Amino acid sequence: MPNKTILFTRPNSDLATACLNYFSKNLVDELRKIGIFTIINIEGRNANKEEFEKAIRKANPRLLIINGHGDETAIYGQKEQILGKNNIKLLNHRIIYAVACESSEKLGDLAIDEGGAEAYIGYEAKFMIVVDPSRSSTPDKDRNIKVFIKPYMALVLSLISGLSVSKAIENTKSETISLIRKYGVQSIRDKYGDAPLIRFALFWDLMFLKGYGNLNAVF
Amino acid sequence: MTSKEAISKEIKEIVIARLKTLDRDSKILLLGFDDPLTVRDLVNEIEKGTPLGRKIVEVQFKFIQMLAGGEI
Repeated sequence: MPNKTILFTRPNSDLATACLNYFSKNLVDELRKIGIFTIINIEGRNANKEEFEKAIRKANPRLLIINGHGDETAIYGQKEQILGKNNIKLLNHRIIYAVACESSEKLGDLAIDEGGAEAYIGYEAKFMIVVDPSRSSTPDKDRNIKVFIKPYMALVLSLISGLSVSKAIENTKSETISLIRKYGVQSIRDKYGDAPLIRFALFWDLMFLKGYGNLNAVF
Repeated sequence: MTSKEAISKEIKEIVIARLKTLDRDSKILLLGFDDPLTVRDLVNEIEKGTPLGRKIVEVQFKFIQMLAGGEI
């Protein structure tokens, strides 16, 4: 029986992590309803190093969707670093999608070379989102944020559908390009004139999305 | 000024001019920054020549090239 366990880390400590938390909210709920997968959701205050390490050791998830702040060599949970050089070996034989700024710059190679991860997908620069100026403290009401969920969903859904990492990245890029085109059409609803900036931010995320390791790996 | 420097100065000016056509109070969120940045902040980053500013120029210029080439 293949391992169909997915671990989500979903801190929610500031606006940026609140947005990422919202990105995966419906996904976690829907995947639980489907029932095919075992979902481990480490959220809010539980998004700490102890819970992260415990969940990996106990449930042995094949796929890790890590949301949070990051830097070149580490990813953070609610308050503290949850993944870095000291526990990188926990990634052994896993597929990781990290939505954390600049995390793939060095962490991508580190995850593969030292952590033994099968594949790592991340961003080589800070992940960019355009926020609705009138809804900036309430992600669930922010129309601009919803645009950025689509590529995120495309990537996760491609992976859990059994497509390879390279195909998942390709699908995400296609989805992003189609959104860039959509937001270039004048008839798009754009109350605050944010469409040009949304297009740029989508392009930014597209440019820095990168896969490492075995790109033929499947979940 | 070398020709390379002149070209990069020109590219920087093109990118700033393009950003200035946007609503200067529109906000982006960059993971790693505590607060959202406005378009005005992005222009400041470029003018100051910060690493973020240089990256914005690079990506925005590539975006303009791809738009012009019909690739997007």
